[in-house]
Amino acid sequence: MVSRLLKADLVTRRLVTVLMFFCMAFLSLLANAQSIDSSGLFSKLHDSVFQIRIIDIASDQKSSTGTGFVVDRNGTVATNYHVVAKYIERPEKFRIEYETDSGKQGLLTLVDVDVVNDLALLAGTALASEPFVLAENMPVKGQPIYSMGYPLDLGITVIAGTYNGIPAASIDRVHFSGSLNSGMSGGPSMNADGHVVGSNVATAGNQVSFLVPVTALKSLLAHYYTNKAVPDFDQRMTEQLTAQQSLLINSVLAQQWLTSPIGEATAIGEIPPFIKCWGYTDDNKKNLFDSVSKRCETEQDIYLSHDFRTGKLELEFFWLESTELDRWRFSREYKKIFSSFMPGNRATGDDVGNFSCQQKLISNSDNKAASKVAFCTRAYKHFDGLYDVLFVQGSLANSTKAFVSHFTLSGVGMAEATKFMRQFMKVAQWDQ
Amino acid sequence: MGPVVEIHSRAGRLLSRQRMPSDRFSVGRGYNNDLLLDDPYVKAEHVYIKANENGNWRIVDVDNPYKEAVVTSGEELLVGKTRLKIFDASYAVPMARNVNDFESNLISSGRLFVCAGLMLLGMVLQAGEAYMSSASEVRWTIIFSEALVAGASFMFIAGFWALLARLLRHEERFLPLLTVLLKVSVFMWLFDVVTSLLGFNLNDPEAIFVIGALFAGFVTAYYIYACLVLVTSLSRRMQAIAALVTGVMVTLLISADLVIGLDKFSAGVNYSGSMYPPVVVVTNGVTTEDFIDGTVEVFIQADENKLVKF
Repeated sequence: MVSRLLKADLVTRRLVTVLMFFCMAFLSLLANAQSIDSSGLFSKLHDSVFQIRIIDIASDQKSSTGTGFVVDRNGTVATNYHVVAKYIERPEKFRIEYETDSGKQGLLTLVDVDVVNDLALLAGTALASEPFVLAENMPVKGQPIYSMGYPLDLGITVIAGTYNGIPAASIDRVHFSGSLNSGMSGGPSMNADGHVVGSNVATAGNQVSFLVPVTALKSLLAHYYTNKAVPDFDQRMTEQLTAQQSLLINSVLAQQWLTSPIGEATAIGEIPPFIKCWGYTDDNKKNLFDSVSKRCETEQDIYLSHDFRTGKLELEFFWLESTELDRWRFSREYKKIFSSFMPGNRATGDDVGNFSCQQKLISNSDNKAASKVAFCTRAYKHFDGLYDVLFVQGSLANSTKAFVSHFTLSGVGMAEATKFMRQFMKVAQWDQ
Repeated sequence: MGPVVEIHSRAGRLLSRQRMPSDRFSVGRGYNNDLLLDDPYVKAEHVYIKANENGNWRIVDVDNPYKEAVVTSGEELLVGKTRLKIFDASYAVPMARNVNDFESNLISSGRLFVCAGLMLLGMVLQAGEAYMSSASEVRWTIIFSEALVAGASFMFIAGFWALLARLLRHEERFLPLLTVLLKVSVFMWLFDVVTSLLGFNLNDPEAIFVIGALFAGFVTAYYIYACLVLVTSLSRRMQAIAALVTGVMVTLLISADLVIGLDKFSAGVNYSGSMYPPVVVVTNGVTTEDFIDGTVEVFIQADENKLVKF
């Protein structure tokens, strides 16, 4: 009895982890679901929406759950990559199962993934469920859409919400005004005709939720129909991540970089639509120096596993100035800031190697050293040719003014990182 | 005044050194001799020895005056089975070596004014550190209290050793112990400044780490040795061994941390954040393009790093 309780507790804790990760507010769960439209949809398609269960083989208990839906007559099931990520990481420790609303259960095999768009395809045997139809056109902003899934292991649920378009960003996501909850990940969202417009993927709470547009699912299916099941997921994911980072960095570099002043130096402004900036002024009155900082970053990153994320791009700029501190005290404070930078993404020793660094003094045109630059990178263990990169450049501490420019890129190739660094060093400057 | 005779055992160990009453002296086991030899192979009256006109020594057998030999000053001579060496008063001895007694050096620097000076320096350094590392308004009371805390901790540690000296040697050794501690602290502080300067441009922080580990081992060995000399009555060799072992242990412990760290995953970045002091003008920078070219090596190194299994 005790051990059963413990196991149950373990599962609950894992569920809570998943829940926290996608931090879904538990709001108006069934409030709108009783409309005529959604109940009609429900009766027609509820047996084509499955709860996907990742089963821990050792304990024979579910370790996490998500939702999947049937997309063709062969019984191909679409879900989220993050639902099955555990299985990809440790296939020997887990298996994938489904359970329908009417209680039918069975095994599923993973056949293809799109890690960038957070999609995965599973194949089942003898799945006789009616497949969903994928929508040809996206709805118009404001039209109702309906999302199905198995929130918090509570049984199948339909949620009504509003389609709010695809905001411009590095990775396309439908903004869905409705409350998605943990466990619904991978479930279908449909227009009024019952045609799928996207897959549930994430939420920011308070009715702000996100779907993967159905176009991504269509291309993944097309790839699967042509190439059949993927033999090597690491290689497939490497290709996808490499293509995505190249697209992102090159489109960022292709733009005219706007500059904005920070103190006496020049920082980089927003690079729409991917990179957004936030400013911060230190207003601690006790400090005898002024610090202005600006931070710009892409809003999205790519989920690879519970503690490994990538695809993020961050820029940071600091202007420090003091009239009251002498040089020595100022340089101490400056050093603290200069040496405090950390990688922008989370990763473990299974995912990446340790950083290696180069630091040098850089001269300006009159051959006097003007700044110190540190460049560090670590390589991805499973995705060849991808790196996390950290760059810091700081003016030398010989006055009571200092400028620091910094960026981190995660999951980039060497060529892209180098191009980005060259452009960055050209624009972010302080002519002393 | 006669010569000095050294009596050596059969194995060559010096047993005694005796001054003879005149330049003619008798050697034997009998108590009437000038030089008494405790050797069963020596007769009661064995030989007599006298200086000849060349300044050498003539040895004459008592029983057979025709049996004689001549040795020079310092030359070895066998009587029975005992080895003798005769030195006349003009025998040249080697130059005196410098006296370098660690203990007396320690005690002599334990004078009050040296101690007070070092103490003041230590307190000023500590207070200065508190002032320098703060970027907000610093009240003098805070600086003052930092200095007092530093002074008190020096006193406390030296007091602890002094108590041991009192128990183990019944001697008052507070001032020398305090001096040793203060010297070590000031030395460490200066080293810190130097390494942070050296660390500025170092691409592998491991090197500075190893230097630090060696330095810490050396300083610990010195400190422990000095304290043992002042506090215990162990033999000088034991004190040296104990200090050496402690020093090596400290170095190994710190280096072990580095060695373990090599196989450990670190989520952070280990670039060097140090800066030259604000008065140094640096002129040996590279161009931006050179820097970017150099990063190829960093990627290669990163590719090697990823092969390490944590």
